Amino acid sequence: MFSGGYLGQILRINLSTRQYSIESIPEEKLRMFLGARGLGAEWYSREVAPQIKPFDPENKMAFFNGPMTGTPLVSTTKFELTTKGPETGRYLCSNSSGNFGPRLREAGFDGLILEGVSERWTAVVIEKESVKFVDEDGWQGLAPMDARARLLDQLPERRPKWATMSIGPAAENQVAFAAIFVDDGRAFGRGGGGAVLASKKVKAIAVWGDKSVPVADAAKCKEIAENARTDLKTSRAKHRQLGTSQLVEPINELGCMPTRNFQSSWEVPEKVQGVYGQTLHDRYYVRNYACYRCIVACGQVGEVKDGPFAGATARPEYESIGLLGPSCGINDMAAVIAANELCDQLGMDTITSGNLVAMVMELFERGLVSAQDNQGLEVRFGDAQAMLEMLRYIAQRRGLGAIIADGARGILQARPEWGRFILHSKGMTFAAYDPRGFHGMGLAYATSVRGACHNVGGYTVSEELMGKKYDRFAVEGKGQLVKTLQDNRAYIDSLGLCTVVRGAYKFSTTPTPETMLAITGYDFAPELMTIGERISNLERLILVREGVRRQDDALPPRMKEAVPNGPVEGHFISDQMLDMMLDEYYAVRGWDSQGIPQPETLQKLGLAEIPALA
Amino acid sequence: MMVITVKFLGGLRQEMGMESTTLRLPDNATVADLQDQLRALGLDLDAQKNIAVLNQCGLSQLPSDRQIAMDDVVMVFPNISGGS
Repeated sequence: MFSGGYLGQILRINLSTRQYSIESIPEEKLRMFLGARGLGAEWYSREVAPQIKPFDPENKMAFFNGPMTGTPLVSTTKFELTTKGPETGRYLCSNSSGNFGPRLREAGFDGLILEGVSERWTAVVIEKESVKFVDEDGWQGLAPMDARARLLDQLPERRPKWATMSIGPAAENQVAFAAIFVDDGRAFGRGGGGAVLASKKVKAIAVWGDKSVPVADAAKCKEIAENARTDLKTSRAKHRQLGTSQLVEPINELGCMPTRNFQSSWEVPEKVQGVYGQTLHDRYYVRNYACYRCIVACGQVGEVKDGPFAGATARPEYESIGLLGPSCGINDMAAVIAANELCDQLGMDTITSGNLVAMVMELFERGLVSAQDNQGLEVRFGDAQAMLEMLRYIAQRRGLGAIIADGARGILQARPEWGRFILHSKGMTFAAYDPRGFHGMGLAYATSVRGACHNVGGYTVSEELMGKKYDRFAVEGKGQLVKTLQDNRAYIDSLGLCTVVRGAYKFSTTPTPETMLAITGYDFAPELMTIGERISNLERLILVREGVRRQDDALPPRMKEAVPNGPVEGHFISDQMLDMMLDEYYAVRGWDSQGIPQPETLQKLGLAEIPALA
Repeated sequence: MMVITVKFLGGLRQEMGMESTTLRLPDNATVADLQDQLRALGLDLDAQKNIAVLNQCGLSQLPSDRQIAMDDVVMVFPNISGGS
């Protein structure tokens, strides 16, 4: 069926026994689930049972590549983590850029599965088709980049060719939103994958190989790559110029910027311009950062040269800026860079970190907690030094950090009365878009398979400003919109390609055949949206067997409060509005009123046998 | 004749070399007239490269014959999505 795009085998490592094996992947499975996110969901449905908890030894982790990962095309960098994640306590899918996915393919594998628990803290080294372990007690406490450097120091040859994943001290302390860092600048940020890796006592993984990733038509791939480079130089020029940070200004002007823990969705422009993308570029920009084979290089590395945060260096994206910045009442890019850098050193997701520090700030503002509750530390909106200290408290589980480290789910169990101040769906905190200004984003957060997420859930902002059938405050039409965006994203996440460049390959809702034909020799194009829909339904089935029903497709109480000021003053999302969007969404998905896929939907998508796995 | 202000946000500010500009439109100008004038500034509104917003609503979502008013506010910015 395929003459390229797949190596057809995965590496399984049992950390308890230190044994490893190489397994093949049936071609029919590749055709049905494509790769990366799709293969991860299919694997999870068979190997991670609903009763297993994130830190149980029986939990497993899979890292799957897509058919494009590591091919000679542009930005073929993505690979996917699948596991049971601690932030939601359920299925987690998360993708990352970096060199690890491509290097894993060069070692000979479409995927890597980790199971069991190492007896000692270790680093896993995959060199071509062999595996060894580097046991050291000294791994503990290291920042992700220090662990990476230490591991690379022990790999004497070909140092530049090794790709790595590593975790920080927050993961070791089982912080529910600890990340896995890939190489020196990318991450599986959301959901707490880092804490799962730490529960297996794995501090880092390195991989190297010398195989080429096979493609069906090398000459055609070269031509497609050249055309993509030409396209991206103009179509993504602004991504290169300012990165995603340039969203701060328009999102604030549209009244959707999380401000002081979403108490508002707008900040006075004269204040918030301190964290504009232009400010990052003019005052702190050092260089661009590029992922594997990417000419867009959208990462904007910023360095603080003077002032209280001098020396801080980070690459803040829009989401990190929004949540560590205005949502914490902070409009100083130097402070955001310092907070982003600290999250990187501690090994925590910037989005959830920002959300939960903002929540602590609101608790202080309302007098619901005091410094006595937090080892003497007051954390108020706008206090950047206190924010940095609170981030350390979380990673170290000190003061209120002992509760916050368990994420939204843990906080709700320990202090349910704080629930109205936590912005989350299914336990994962909001991205930096207030749905009261884009109601489709509310539906996306509520139905996103991994909890509130602007990527997996569907990035509705552009369509809600350009779609002909609805406006941003409408509820009608949002069910179809979110379904289409989710299915589109599900297949793109399964390709092994960065979504920023998808347009250069025509990976829209009506994809053209050239790229997948050149890579795999198989005409995937007519099936890609169906594959996306199949993945969305399989993931929903997984959630259903983990207990999710309509009541879990929810938004937090704050969304029912009218925005008090700014461009969307007075707007809110009531229970009735969400219900209307959910009814439409379930109907277009072919799910029943509880959000359970109907038998005929599963039959249509070739998933009829999956419920039997429950 | 009326004068309305167009604000350029994000990366468009650098590309246009200014934070904002003013457009002179006839008193009975419509959304279609405004779109023509924005395109005349060199803004690509057709390939979804940029998003134009009029009074917080997508310009392309409004009826093309909707009349423009003196105090209307127009914003244009690049069509990009966020990161993390």
